[in-house]
Amino acid sequence: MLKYLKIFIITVFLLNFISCTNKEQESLLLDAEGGNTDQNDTLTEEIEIIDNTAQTIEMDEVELTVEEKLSAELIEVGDRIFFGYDESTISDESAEILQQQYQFLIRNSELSITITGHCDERGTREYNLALGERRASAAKNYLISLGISSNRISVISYGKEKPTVAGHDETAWNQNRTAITFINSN
Amino acid sequence: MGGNIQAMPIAISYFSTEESLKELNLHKNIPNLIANNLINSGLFKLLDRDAYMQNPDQLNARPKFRDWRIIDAQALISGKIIKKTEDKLSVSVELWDIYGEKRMFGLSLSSKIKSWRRISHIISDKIYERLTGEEGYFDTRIVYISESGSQKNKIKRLAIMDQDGGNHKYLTDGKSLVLTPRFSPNQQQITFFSYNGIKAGLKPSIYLYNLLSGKIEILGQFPGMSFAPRFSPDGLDLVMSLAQNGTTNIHIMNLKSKKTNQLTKGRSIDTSPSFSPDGKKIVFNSDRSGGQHLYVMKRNGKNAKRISFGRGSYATPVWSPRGDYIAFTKFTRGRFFIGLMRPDGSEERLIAEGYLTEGPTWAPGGRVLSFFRQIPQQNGSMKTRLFVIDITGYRERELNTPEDASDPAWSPKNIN
Repeated sequence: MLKYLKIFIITVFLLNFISCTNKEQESLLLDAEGGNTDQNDTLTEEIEIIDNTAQTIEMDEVELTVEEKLSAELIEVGDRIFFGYDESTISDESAEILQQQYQFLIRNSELSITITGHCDERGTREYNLALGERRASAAKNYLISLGISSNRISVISYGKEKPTVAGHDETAWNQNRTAITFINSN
Repeated sequence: MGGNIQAMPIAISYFSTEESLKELNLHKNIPNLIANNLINSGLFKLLDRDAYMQNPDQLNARPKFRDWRIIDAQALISGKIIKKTEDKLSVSVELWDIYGEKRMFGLSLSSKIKSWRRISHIISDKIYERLTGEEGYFDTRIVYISESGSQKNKIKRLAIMDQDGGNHKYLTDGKSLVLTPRFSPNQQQITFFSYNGIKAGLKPSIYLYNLLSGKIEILGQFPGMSFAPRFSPDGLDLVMSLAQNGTTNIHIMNLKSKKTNQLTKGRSIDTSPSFSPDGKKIVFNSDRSGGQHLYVMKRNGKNAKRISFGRGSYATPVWSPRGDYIAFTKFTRGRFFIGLMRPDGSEERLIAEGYLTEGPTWAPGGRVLSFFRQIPQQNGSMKTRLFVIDITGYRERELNTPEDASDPAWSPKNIN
């Protein structure tokens, strides 16, 4: 029983990863997790949850749009790079990811992108807005240096306003010092 | 009074009033609000009304000073409320020096009944000014950012309230992210930073909110992101930061012509500019020397001099309206502080601290500040609240807000 549930949750995570986030899926995932944490008193109810979700997943696979597929591809090549505290330098690891993004942009030459810059919460609001802009610009300039035209890339800084990971510790801060690439929708 | 921590014992009698007004309870509400203001300043102690030997009606004549000396009152406030028309009233107040046995001043105000809170704040200011020699700050408002939602998806709304939390009002609906509001000197406008319009392809920008008309306007479109706005003391210009291509510089904009001038140059982050009260200098935050430090330059951008030299990062400097201090945020050894220094950088001291304390703002008079603080909770979440503290670093207290609150900006004094 529990084994099934685990497999199911992993499946949903993978699909989430591939198809980018989808509201319906998210809520179903929450349902399933809720079912998992419930006391194991009614086995039949849990089985019902699995059946429901499995059906929806199949439907979602069919409904993927071109844009969703491209977003999924971007996530797969690496949509984000990370920074040290109060830093905006592109590490070797980040450079590799940006080279992948460059290849992706060459393959999809009609696409334009927005890079959002983010900071951890350990700085003042205004300084972090500037630092987020500096991080997003560092990513943008790296792509330009590889040969992407500057008019295909916009930047937006969110400073410390939109952390990608919740939490108030080193782990969260490391994830939140980031620049993330998004495909612009037309 | 200055550094004197001993609170002055004062008596604030309920006011006398006519029968027809009694049901409004203003004869109690007005003196209570005055008492609340004065006690919150930390400089006064209200003597228990049960111990008063004269009732409000008896105080319509000269008080029996001996009766008030017995309970140790150094000053006595008495008052009378009269109905002028159906919706108008008149409030007269007297401040008595118990030991000098004389009237220190009398004041009579008339207005619409519904403005009774405003009347109480004006009276509070006059009494505070007379007793301390400092400028009062009670007839003022605070604009701030009201926060709700989860950490990853915060809803932020512009909100405004009286300095004591009264007349609370939301100014925006929370659909777009708004940050860092600041009052204009005539306090009819608020400038703030917002992501409003990014879906339509606009850059995150500085906006202007007119409190009288409720109209919001965007302040120009720049090649980069415009943020960190603050008015000049004469209200004619705005200083701000423009971020483009990884560099953030300070610019000044004339609000009439909308013409801008670049004040700082180079590859560093220069932000959080704030004018000196005479309008001749600007203090700002820059990482040009590596770490984040405070600098003072002339209004035209010339002669930038570093003023902070301690360990840690310095940010968000704000010049006191009196000109004698610069308040700032400091981050060092994993903690955030609110600090003060002289405009030349001397006499640095820290007056408040926390997991995150940020964004000091001065009350008129330059003796009291507000800031915001994130407070870690047992369950791992954060509570964000506004606080008030005076320059001695004593008498810190929380300001009540309906939800989480950040980025406070204290208004200048109301113009009567």
